[in-house]
Order: sequence, then C-alpha cells, then structure tokens
Amino acid sequence: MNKKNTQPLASSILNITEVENRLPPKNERSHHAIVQLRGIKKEFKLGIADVEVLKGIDLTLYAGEFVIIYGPSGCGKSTLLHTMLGLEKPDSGDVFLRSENLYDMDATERTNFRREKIGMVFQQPNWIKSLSVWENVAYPLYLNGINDKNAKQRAMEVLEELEMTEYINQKPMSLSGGQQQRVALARALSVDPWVIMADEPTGNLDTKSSADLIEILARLNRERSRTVIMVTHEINFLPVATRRVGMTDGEVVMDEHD
Amino acid sequence: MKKINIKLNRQTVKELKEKLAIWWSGGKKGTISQKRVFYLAYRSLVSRKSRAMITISAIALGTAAIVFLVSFAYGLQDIVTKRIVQPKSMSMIDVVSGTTNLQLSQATVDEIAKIPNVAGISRAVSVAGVVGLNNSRMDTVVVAVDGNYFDYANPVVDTGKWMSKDALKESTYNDGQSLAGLMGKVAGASTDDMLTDVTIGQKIDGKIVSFRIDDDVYVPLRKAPKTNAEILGFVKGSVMNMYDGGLVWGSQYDSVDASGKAFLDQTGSWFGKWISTEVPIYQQTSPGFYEPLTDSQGQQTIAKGFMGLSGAKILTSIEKEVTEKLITETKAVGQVLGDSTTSANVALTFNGGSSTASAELMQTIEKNKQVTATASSGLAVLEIKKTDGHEALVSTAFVKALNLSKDDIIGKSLTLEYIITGSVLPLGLSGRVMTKPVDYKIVGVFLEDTKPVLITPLADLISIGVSRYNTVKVLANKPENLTTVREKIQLMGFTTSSIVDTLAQVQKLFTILRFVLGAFGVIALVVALFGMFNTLTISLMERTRELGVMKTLGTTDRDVFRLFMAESLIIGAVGGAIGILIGVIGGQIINVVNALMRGGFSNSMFKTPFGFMVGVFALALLVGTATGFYPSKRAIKINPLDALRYE
Repeated sequence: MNKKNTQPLASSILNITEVENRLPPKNERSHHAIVQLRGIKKEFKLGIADVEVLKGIDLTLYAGEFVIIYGPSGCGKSTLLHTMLGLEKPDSGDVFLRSENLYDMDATERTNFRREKIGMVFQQPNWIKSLSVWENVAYPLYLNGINDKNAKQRAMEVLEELEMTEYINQKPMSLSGGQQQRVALARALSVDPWVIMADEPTGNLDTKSSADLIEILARLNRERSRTVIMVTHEINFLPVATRRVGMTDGEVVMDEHD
Repeated sequence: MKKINIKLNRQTVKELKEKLAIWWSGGKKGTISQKRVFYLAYRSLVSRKSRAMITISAIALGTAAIVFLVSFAYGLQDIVTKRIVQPKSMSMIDVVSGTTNLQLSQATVDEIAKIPNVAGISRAVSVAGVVGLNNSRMDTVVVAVDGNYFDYANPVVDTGKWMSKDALKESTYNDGQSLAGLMGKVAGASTDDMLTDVTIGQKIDGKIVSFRIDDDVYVPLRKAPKTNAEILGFVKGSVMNMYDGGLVWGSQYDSVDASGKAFLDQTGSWFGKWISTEVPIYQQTSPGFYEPLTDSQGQQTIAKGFMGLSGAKILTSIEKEVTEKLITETKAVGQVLGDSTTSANVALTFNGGSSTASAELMQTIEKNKQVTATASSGLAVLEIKKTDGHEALVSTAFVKALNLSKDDIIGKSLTLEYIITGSVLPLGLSGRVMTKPVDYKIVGVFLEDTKPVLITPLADLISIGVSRYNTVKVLANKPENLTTVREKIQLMGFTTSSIVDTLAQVQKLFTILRFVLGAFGVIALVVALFGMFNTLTISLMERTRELGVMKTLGTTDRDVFRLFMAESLIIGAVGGAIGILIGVIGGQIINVVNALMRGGFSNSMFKTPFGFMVGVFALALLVGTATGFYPSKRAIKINPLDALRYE
C-alpha cells in the first residue's frame, strides 16, 4: 500500500500550509555564494543514443538559502545535484563550493571535501546495516578521525536535536521511513557541513512524514541558518523554500526567490 | 658519529611510536583508526553471523588439519630422536674394529685417549653367559662395561640402581702368573701325560660323553677303532643332532688337531682318540650325496661302531644343556635363530645406536649355541680374579623370562659363567674360554624388553686378562669437536659411527614426512580458501549499496579497502587460532588416550612446537589476507552512484 497515493491531494496542501504557519518567518537573503555552477554540461549514453541531460547550467546559490530544485522526472535535477556533490563529473563546466573548484581536486581530495563540507540525505534510506542508529550517525565522524568518545557525544547531540534519542541503539532498518530520514538528516548534520543536499528525501514517505521532514529542513534553514538544497518533484513544498529553481529537459526554466 | 646515530634512531623510534598510536587510535583527519576499522569489520561479520561462522570454521578445519598432521610428524620425530639421542650422544663416537684386523686393544684405547678434545672413553665387552638363578639356567648376553658406561650409553635403569664404585673398580692382578697359568683346566687333553701305556680299544676314561658333528659333515663309522677297519656307514653332522659315546684309544690317523696323534707310547707308536658310539647311519650314494641306510621295514639302521674324535665336538655339561635347549626350542618354535632380526632393537635401545656391536653380540650367542669351538684348544675354564663387589644389572626381559617381579629380583644373587670367544679373548688364548661360576648380586633392572641381558663390571673380565674390547665409546669434549676426533680415530684404521649420522638421516626423513602430511592439510586449507573467496565476493555484491553509502559519505578508497581487508584478516586470524587450538587439542586427546591405553606411560605421538604454531597462524593470516585482496580491490572500483542505484 502506498499511502501517498491514497491521501487526497488537498490534505497535502493543507499540511504544507499548516507547516508554514508553525514556522518562524524566512531569513533575509545573503549575498555569499556557496555553490556556483558554471556552464555545466552532461551527456549520458542510453543504448546507442546520447542524451544531453544538462545543457549548460549556470546557477549561483547563496548561503542561508533553502533551495528547492523541482521539475518532472528526467529533467536532470538529480544529476545536477550529484554534480554539486562531486559524485558526477560534468562533461564541461565548473562547480565551486565557496572558492573550491570540486573537479580540480583528485578523487580522494574530493571525497574528503564532501565528507567534511556537505551533508547528504537520499531518497532511499542508505545504511551500514551492521551498525546501530547512533553508530551510523557517528560514522562520518570516524572517517574524520574524531576519537570514539567525541564522535559518540556529537552523534547523541544531533540525534537529540532531531528527537531520536529513544532509538539510538536500534538498527536503522527497524525504524519507519520518516524516522529513518530523520536519522539520515542527523548523519548529514553530524559533521556540521557548509550545506545540506537532499535528493528526493520525501520520495518514499507518506504525506504526514513528508510534512514533518520538510518542517525540520525549514527550521534548520530558518532557525539555524543552514543552507539546504533539496531536489524534489513535489511542487507542494515550494512555499517553504526561499528559492525555487524549476528545470525542464536539462535547462533551468524558472528561478525565483523571496 | 655513533651518538648522532643513536639520537636519530631515538627520534625515529619516537616518531614511529606516534605514527603507530595515530594509526591505531585515530586522530588523523580523513582516515579511520585501525581500532575502529577492526571494530566495524567485526560488526559487519557479526551481522552475518552464520555465514561468518561457516567461513571461519572452514578455515579453522583447514588449519587444524595442517596442525594435526604436522604435529603427528613432529611427535614421531621426537619419539624416534629421543630413542636415539641421549644427553651426551651428540659428542659420542662409537668405535668398532671395522673390517681390518685391527683390534680394539688397551694400547689402542690409550692412543685414542691421547687425541686432543677427547673427554673420556668407555669400553665394553659383549660376551655370552650362562646364568643360574633359583635353580633355573638361562643363556644371556653379558655386557661388561666401564663405570662411565651409564653416563655414556644411558641405559634406562627401571628399578634399583647402577653398579657401585667398588664393583666397577679395576684392580691390578699382577701376581706373576702367566696367562696359561690362569687356566684351570683344558678339557680333553688334561690328564694324558699320566698315561704310560695304551692298547687299541682301551677306554680312555670310562665316561659317557655327548658330542656333535659339524653341519653337513658325514663322518665314517668303522667296525673297529682302526683306519683300515670296515666302514659301517656315515654319521651325519647337524646342529640338531647330538650323540653320546665313550672315548677309546685307537690307531693313529691324520687330523688337523691333536686327536689323530694323541699318545706316543714307549715303543714309538702313535695312538689316536676314537669315539665308540651307537648312532643312525647313512650311506653314500654318490660322492657328496648321502641318504639314510634303511632296513627291510624302512627303518633307519642304527649301528654300533667307532669314529675318529677329530670329527666330533665334545660337549661340556653346559654346552650339552645349551644344545639340548636349542634343539627343543628349535623344534618347538622353529625360529630361535631367526629372532636375530630383533637385534636392531637391542642396538637402538640398549647399545645406544651401535648396531655393529649388537650384530657381533648376536654372532657370539649363536656361536656359543652351536658350540663350534676350535677343537684343538677345547674349552679353557678361567677363574675371575676379582673377588669383591660382584654386582650386576639385569634387563626387564631377563626378569620376565624368569617370571619374577622387578622388585623381588633386586638384591638376589645369581651365578654367571662367562663364555668368551673371538676377538675379545684374553691374549694368548684361542677358541672358547669359560669362567667358573661367579656369584653376582643383582643391584638393578634396566629397560630392555627384547633380550635377556646382563650388565656386569668390565673390571671382572679384565681380571682374567681380557684386554681387547668389542666397542669403545669415545666422548668428545664438545659436540663441535666430534668431527675432528672422529677423523683422527678413522685415520687409525677404525670404523666409527655416531648418532649424528643417524640423526641427520632421521631428520631428513621426517622433514619429508612433515611436508607430505602438511601438504594434505594445505589441500584442506585451500578448499576452505575457495569457500572464503566465494563468501567474500557474495558479501561484497550484497553490500554494493552499503558501499555506495560509505563512499558518498566520504569513505576514501583506502579506507574501504582497509575495512574489507580487516574482515578477511579477522576470518583468517580467528579461523587460524581456532584451527590451531583444535589441531593441538585433537593431538593431545590422542596422546592422553594413547597413554591411558598403555597404562599411563607413553611418549607423545603429537607434538606441536611453538614456532610451528606461530608459523601456521602467520600462514592463516597471510592466505586470509591474500584471499580478501581481490574482493577488496573490487570494492574500491565500485562507483558510488551506481551502487546507490543498485538494488
């Protein structure tokens, strides 16, 4: 049973309005660029045909923004996010995070950079299945060479902030989809990144859980001034964002901000 | 320069220590501490418990197979080596006369003693002996030894103790007597010079004697004791035949010994010694071929007649007994002489590896059993001059043969008559020499399960003039000097042997055995490794998605590799350790069972040297790591985005 499809559309809209009502007002826009995309082009081979997924994207995202990149399936929004993550090298163009050119780095440098500066949330819950909730959250900290005690302490802090304290010793796979995405967000936050990038984070969630997650992301943005970049095809969420980037066929067709 | 070097070294050590601490406990940005790597790998293995356990079990069984089989080879080698090697045997040289006519005389021994780096010499004479104890008599091997023989050859004294110093003390018996004077009596020729006159057919002493004829010799039996008398038939010589008869005077005849011309009367005529006897006879069918002469009923004819004494061997009462026993034993068992095949055992356990000495010993026994002393000299009977401290040790087989208990026999007395022949005879004597019965006090029982053997002090035999030895054990002051001392002795013309030769052979053999058995174990391990390879590869496929997560979260390729390698390292280490434990315990269980079955005492059949255990553990680690290498390399190559899309 897919709950999302059984819920009336009106309730989703109602929820997002309720969410917006609970949130504090949006922050002023800053002028410190955090992600800059310069002429990003990317082609994929599909069978014998070359498909141009990104057709020369220029985009500057600023610190403190809550950016929602939206568009229909196959518009290239996920690929664009992967490019920003340093996981997908574009055929041409540059990606800067602050002043760092991601694709000037070698693979290891890029991996290290991503680990320290970017927090990620995926559509699928992706776990190291043998580890508990808090160990998964602490994992990126271990990678940073932080000692066990401090790593655990930091993981607990983040989990507490996201009201997940009671689940810390469970295996993540035993939690509900919404709870899992909270843990995923905790993991993303554990390293205190420059920016949080989320790829269809509500894709597998019911409407209620989706609304909760969006509220959390919005609060992080408005109360903690976290930069959030979210890719989604759910246009219902657009009102909570401070910037809305619409894409179709590998091109930015809409870019507006509050 | 030196000081600077030390400073630099200290600094390097310090830096190394710091690096090691970081590597283990963490602190360097961008890399997981080794401790954490092991922990994560452990958690990953635990999350797939049954699979990990099966893989570890397979490795453990393979390792256990290696440990078990090779431990068996080590155990066997140890048993064999222990039987060969005694504390001093690595410095010990056994000297025997060899093929030349060189004899191990006292002069030779003195000369050997002068060779540099010789720390000591122990002489031994192996002779036959007839023992009387509790009214029973028995043939034994008697080894008369120097006092230090105990140190040199290490006979295992099972009960009682070694002979006392007094018993072993060598005294000088320079009482002016010549060797001939030492002789009490020479049988067969002793009273002749009392005679003044004889006639043909006259009885010599009126006694009935027992005699034998050499194997496969047919001696003519005549109607009268004269060389021209009619031949009634032939008397067959055989180890198995003993005849009775009386000695008579007859005509002279040609003989190699003195029997043919034994008495010269006052008229200048020679008389020879003949035997009057009644025996089954044979006829000559063609030259060299004989068959029994039969009567009309097919019964072999028994004829009364005379034969020359030179063809016969007169037996003493002891020899008669020995021969009778031999005949009954041979008839009963049919293999009395055949048991010389076990002489190798005697050599190993008793003579400390000197198989040559043992062979000679067996020959001595058989010579005595066959009673083939040179006819001319007859049998000399000597008296042991050393009168004090007659002590002896007996073998466990000796105790068993007499149906006594080891504890009871200690302190008992036995009578011993030495029978000395061949190369160890006192100088000036030939043939066989017996000693008068001497009382010996049994002071100890030594471990020798196959032969009745007695150990007596060499001093006793020296007191009757024995000055040549069967074997001489030479002790070099250090094992390293063994070779040079050996070479010098060999230059003197003697054959030497040393445990070192045997040991080298044995070790070579067991090295091969170890490799062969080890190879079987390795096959088991290789099978286990294929299983492990398979498991790791499947595990990798299952975790492709997880790998994607790790990588997107910022795990470097190096750390991914370390995590996967740590898993195979753990499998190898745990499997190896458990395998070694199983192998060792398995061997020990068999050791205990074996010991219980043998009544609590047994050598260990399984032995696992610590170094070997370490080696096997290293092997398990190495192959475990090697097996994990390819899947780990594969893990690196996985593209994180593909991995995230992978279902």
